[in-house]
Amino acid sequence: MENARTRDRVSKTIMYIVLIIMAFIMLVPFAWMILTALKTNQEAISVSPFYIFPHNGWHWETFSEVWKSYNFFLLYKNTLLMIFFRVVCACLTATMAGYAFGRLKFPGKNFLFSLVLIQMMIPSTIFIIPQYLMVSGLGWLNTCAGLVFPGIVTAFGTYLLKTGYQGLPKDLEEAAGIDGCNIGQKFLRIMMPLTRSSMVSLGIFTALFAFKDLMWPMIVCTSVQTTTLAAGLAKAQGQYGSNYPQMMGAAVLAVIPMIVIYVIFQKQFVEGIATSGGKL
Amino acid sequence: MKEKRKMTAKEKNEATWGYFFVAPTIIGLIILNFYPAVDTVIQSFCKTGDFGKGNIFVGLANYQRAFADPEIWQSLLNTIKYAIIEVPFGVIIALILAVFLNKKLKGTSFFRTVFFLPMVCAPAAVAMVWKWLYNQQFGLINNVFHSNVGWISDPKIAWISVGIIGVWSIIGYNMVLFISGLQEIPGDYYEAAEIDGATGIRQFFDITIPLLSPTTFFIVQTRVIGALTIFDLMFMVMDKTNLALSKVESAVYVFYNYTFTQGNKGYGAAIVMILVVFIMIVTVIMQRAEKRFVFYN
Amino acid sequence: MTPKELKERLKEWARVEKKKIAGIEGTRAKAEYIWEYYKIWIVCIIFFVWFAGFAIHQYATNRMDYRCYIIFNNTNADVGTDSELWFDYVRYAGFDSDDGDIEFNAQSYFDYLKGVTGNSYFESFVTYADGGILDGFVTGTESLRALGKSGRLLDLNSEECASIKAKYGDRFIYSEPYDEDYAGKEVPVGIDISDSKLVKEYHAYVDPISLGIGAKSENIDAVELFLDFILEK
Repeated sequence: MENARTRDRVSKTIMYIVLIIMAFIMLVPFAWMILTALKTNQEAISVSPFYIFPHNGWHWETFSEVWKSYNFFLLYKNTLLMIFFRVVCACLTATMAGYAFGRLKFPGKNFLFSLVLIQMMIPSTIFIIPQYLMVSGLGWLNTCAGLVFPGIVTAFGTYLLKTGYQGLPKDLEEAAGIDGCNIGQKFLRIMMPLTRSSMVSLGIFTALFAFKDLMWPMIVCTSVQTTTLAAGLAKAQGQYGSNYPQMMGAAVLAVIPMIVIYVIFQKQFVEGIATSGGKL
Repeated sequence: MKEKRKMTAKEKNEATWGYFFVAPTIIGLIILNFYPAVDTVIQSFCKTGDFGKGNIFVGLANYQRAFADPEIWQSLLNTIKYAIIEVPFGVIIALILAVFLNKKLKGTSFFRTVFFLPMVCAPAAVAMVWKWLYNQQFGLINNVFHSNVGWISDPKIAWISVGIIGVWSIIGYNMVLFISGLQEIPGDYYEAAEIDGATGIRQFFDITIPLLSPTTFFIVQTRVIGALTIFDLMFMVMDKTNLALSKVESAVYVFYNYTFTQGNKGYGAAIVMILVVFIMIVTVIMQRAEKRFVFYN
Repeated sequence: MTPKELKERLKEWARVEKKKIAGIEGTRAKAEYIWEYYKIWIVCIIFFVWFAGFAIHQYATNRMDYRCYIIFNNTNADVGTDSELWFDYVRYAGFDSDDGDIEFNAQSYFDYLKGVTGNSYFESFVTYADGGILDGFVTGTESLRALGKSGRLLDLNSEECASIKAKYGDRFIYSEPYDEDYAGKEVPVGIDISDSKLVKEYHAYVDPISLGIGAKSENIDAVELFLDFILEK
């Protein structure tokens, strides 16, 4: 017993050390963002001497300045709306297609799936101009629908969920089939709920990509009423030349909802651990 | 006779459901992505006339020029070198972290959030930090180790430095996927192994790795594609005047240069086509490997 | 299932359901029953109907057919849509807002000479230029000259701008394009407007500036009117 416990403690300590070192490495840019927001512009851009911490006082007022110079509530609202719809659309379409590719047989399945894979290989800059023309032609410029447009379907999500569905045990379907479910019911009531962790991951990634997307909101939403965080804050970089404390202050404020979304979503992961024995 | 007809009706039923389920995604992909892609293919065989003239068909001229251009081949090589760093290291480190965070340690929530942070950081901030770290004169790394290495200015090692940034920024992403994959492994396997007296490391290799192989394969596959189409990292960290740029710029970077900056859309399209065909070949090889290495239930 | 079988099944199901509902006492209980079983369908249908309405409305009212789209690059002055410059121009040109939109975009910050890789404003510019939306583009002269090499600005020697050439030919800025077909030949890509109202009256710029025309522009006349407007004595 003693051996097992010391072994346990040693391995736990090693894990903690590794985690803390990695955490420190990961935190550096984020901490740097916050610290830069608290510096003066001179300190921020000076390379030699290089300031890690602000030397001329900690300018917390940068945050309030930035808050006042943008309508953050509007930006948050637009961004969150866009993220919400993109996540819903992506999850819906990807889970349906993922189930079909992962569990059903139909002619042409491999060909269609290769289309999905090929989409991921094409650099996304190619899609922007044609998609813009489509959105413009539909009259969806400066609308939430226009922002959501490229995110309605997701090849990555389809592949992710196909992998998720393939990992589920085969017997489940057969059991349900005997009970008289048709494929649609099997999907809705049994299979889909079991891929929850994959869907959560997809939600996180879709939200993240939608949040960071700068190019698309910039050309689709020219009005300040409808633009998103990324595009709205890009003005800070352009207009004021490089006022780094302001830029970083804006970036920090913008990131907060994203972190909140992530923390909420990943609690779903934690629930998974709590239910022992996986899903059965 | 009756048996055969029953099966076909069931198969037809399954096929109908199958088409119904993939229809939204496939139709969406065709409209949103394949129609522009076909446009690009056509463009690669044309010279987009400057000053508003339309596409002028030139046959294989763009491809001939691309195949003879050393810059293109160098950029392909750079891209492959980048992928060689980002994919294995990104996957392995993320896997280890995910395994650690899947256990009942205190503060997993905190760590998971911290590891996720690089992904939400403003790219400008990330670029600045790394540029400072790597700076030859004032950078932190050189000052701490009292070295004078041109991390991103020396053509011989710049690609490694950029690769390291790539690994760093992708760990959080891979980790999220690994964690979700680890959730799917029923705890009973581990309990049974504990009873049998298997150590943590044995459990890892005998249970975790095989059962995690679908997720691992997915991550490797998507990261291979993602690494081969990398683009932002290059220009964020390296200025246009950086001498090492030619040994670091990726294929998509070159494509961007020709299509966007120079307006030579035909040539850029040809470059993209070559890259896509290359990635397709790699993917096909990987899909074959999937049958050998991945275990589905 | 063949379509006929499907129809049969649906009819049968509808009949059974109607009987069930008729058998429940009271409208409130009926409503609860319907909500209990069909809420997902109801929500979906409502959403689709609303969305269809939205799409049709947008299609009918919001399709942008710009009458004149001009980008003012690298300026911090307020010269965008609804600014003083904009109002004066619209009045000068005699445009009616029914004619389509007149858009002045002053949110553009890139310098072609300093490198534009990854600059989202530049990517916006490319989208508008290649999409045929961009009509006019104002930026520093040297920057414009370099930008002209990419062929996204109209060749001012072409027929469409014959009248511009006649009036302002002496102000042309020349550039040698990347395109090998033009090797050695210089093409006029911009019109020098350093002494225009933009600088003198509206104080939008200080350095020498020029105006280029989008290569796929369909509103060259509007740009010409703009030129007349800012260059009139």
